[in-house]
Amino acid sequence: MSDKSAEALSLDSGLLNKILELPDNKFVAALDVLAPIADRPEVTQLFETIRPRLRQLQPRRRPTLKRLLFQPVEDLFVAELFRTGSPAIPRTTIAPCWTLLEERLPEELTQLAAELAETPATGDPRSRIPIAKQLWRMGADAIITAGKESRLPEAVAMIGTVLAAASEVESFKQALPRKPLGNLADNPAVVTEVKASVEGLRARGQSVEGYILAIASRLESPAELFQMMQRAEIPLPAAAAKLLGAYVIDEVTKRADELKEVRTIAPEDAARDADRLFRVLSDAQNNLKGSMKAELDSGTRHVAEVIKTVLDRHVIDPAAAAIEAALPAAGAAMEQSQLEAAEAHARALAKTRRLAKHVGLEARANTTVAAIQDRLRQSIEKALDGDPAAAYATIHILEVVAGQSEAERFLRLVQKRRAAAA
Amino acid sequence: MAAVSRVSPKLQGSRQYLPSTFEERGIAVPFTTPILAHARVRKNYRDQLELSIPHFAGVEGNYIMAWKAVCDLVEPTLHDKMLFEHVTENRVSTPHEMRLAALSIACTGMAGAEVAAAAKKAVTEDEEAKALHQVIVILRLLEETNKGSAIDLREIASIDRQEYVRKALTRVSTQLDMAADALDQRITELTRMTYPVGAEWNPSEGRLRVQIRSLTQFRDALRTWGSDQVNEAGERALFSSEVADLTLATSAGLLKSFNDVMRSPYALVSAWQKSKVEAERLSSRLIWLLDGWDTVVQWWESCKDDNERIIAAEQMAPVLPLIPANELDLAQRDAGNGIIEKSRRWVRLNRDWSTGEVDAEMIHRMECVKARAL
Repeated sequence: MSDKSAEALSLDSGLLNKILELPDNKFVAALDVLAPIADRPEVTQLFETIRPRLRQLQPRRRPTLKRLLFQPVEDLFVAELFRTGSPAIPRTTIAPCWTLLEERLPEELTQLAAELAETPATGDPRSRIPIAKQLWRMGADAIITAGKESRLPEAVAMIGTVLAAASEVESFKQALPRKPLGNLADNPAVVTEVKASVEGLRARGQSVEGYILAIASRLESPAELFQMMQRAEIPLPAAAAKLLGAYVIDEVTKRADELKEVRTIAPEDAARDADRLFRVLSDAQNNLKGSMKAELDSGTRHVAEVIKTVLDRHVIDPAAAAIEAALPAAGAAMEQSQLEAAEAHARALAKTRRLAKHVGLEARANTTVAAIQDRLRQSIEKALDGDPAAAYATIHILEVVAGQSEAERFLRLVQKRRAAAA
Repeated sequence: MAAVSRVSPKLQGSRQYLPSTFEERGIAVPFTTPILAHARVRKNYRDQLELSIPHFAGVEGNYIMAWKAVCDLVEPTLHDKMLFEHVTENRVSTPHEMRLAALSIACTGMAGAEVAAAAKKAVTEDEEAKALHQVIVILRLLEETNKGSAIDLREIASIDRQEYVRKALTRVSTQLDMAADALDQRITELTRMTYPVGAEWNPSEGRLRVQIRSLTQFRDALRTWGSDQVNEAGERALFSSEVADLTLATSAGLLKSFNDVMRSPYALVSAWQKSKVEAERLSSRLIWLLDGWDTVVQWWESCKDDNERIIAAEQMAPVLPLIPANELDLAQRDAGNGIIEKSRRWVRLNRDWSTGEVDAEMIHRMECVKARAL
């Protein structure tokens, strides 16, 4: 179906609900029809809703010309702007940006769309690269030219900046496809890739801002990019540094607010998310300077408290009760689901201990662990002469919560008693 | 020798250290400590156990260490210490024995409740599969001596039928000019040797046949996913699918010979001394060939999204169970050599598995993968 016939579809909420209920193959076919009008608010909303199912199905299909154009910018898109001054790009920018290009490049886009249609629908995506490169270059030129003639919305201009470095952005994604990408210091490929791209862009007299921002959007901790570039002696122009700083602040506050809003979360997810947020904040504090640092400090005072609350509420506080519920009582067998839940709480608590001391929870975490340890000790001692399965299961929890030394002592005791009994 | 002449001198030099037999490749040890996750145990030339750890600390090649030094070098989980002690005490020397050892330790719960439940289920299924395989072999034997007329499996459950089977087996033993007990012993031994593969005509597939099917799906999935990627992870996925493909081609040959041998239990028990060696050899080769693949397949299947697939594709390529040169047919040697050359290209290795730091989350992930692989 062509883009125009897709536009002609009437999209009421009932139809959208029916699409959601379709079986997999028909669901994918429906998405192919909707893809050309993905920037319409109701379709954008639908795509947000179905994204988990889309990720699971991984439909392999030829992208539309529009999707191919915005591919280098995709990691920067957000449903809506998080705060004033954020360099992220709201998805609603796609429509005006595409209209602008349709007005300025009508014949070129038609020609490229025809060439794209000739590429295999489900085959090697490399076949689309030459078309994509032309498209990105023409798109960037058109937006930059339009920006010189009249003032463009900042987000549209930003798309142009990223498109100007699209080949470099895609090269980075190709070389380092993981997302989010962490531990840049341990990854020489990042240095090689960024250094070559920045040098290439500078040699062509192009801005590196769009590239830096697109790369930052793929990192677990965007502030790491400052450190990595400094160590590798890759020059970072002031304008790009400012943009990156704004993006870092955006990320810290966004992640903190998302975590703050969470009402129900599994203990291990809470421990992991809190740990990630803490690392992102620490990296930001260590790498931002001057007015950016002041802005970060004033805007993120609440973050430590968010981490503390999440850890306390979802990890430390419920751990003892969850573990207690799994322990053997009055000769009854341990219940599988309770045992698995207790282990999950034990793992989360163990992971939290290192972070707890940075957010003022060390004493509380230590007291909780000590109390759990005492309870586990009693339980193991009781199980020593009884059910070995209960003893082993409890020793495993003890190992996770408090480390190996005491757990191993108990394990040897169980083995000794079993050997003697045999 | 054309393939060898294309190989760089550096590679030719290092070839002498590559395992040439399954025994040299070693047995995959289902440790849950991340740094030991893909380790293999084998005997050295002095008949002492040693551990081979691929890409230890991110370094290319395999790090070989004395088995007894494992607990001094890294801090294994208590589950792994128990497994280590079991392997040491029992001198575990085949993948099948390792599986039984791993199941017995996993059943304790020392690798967590999920692993324990999976291990208990696997033990029960193994016992059922063994019993069913024995029945299936007996039925085929009786059909063969009953002028080829089929016996209904459902009828065998009745008491009368059990008596019928006992009497029929006595008749077979008379035909074979051997004592009924001796025939029973041969059937029991044949069952023990061959139940992991199972009979071709068994309505419930043997564990290794299921594993081959999973490996086929794995190969196809990686081929499809890999060709859809424009990155190194895609290349690695295609490499993994090639290794799986070569393994499947080798398994097909072995399985065909196994099926041929198993087709007539009567011939097997009659020419027992010669046939049992062949049946055991084929079953054992299949077990050795597929050793270590379960973990890899489950690792891929446990990936929830494309990002996890990228990480898995990058990390699994350097630790795949490559087939040792002497275990390949002559016709497959060129393909095998090509795979070894490709495997040396991966320079960014196994980073996340190379830390010695205790990481409960990663241990748990490893436990879950191993639980599904049991």
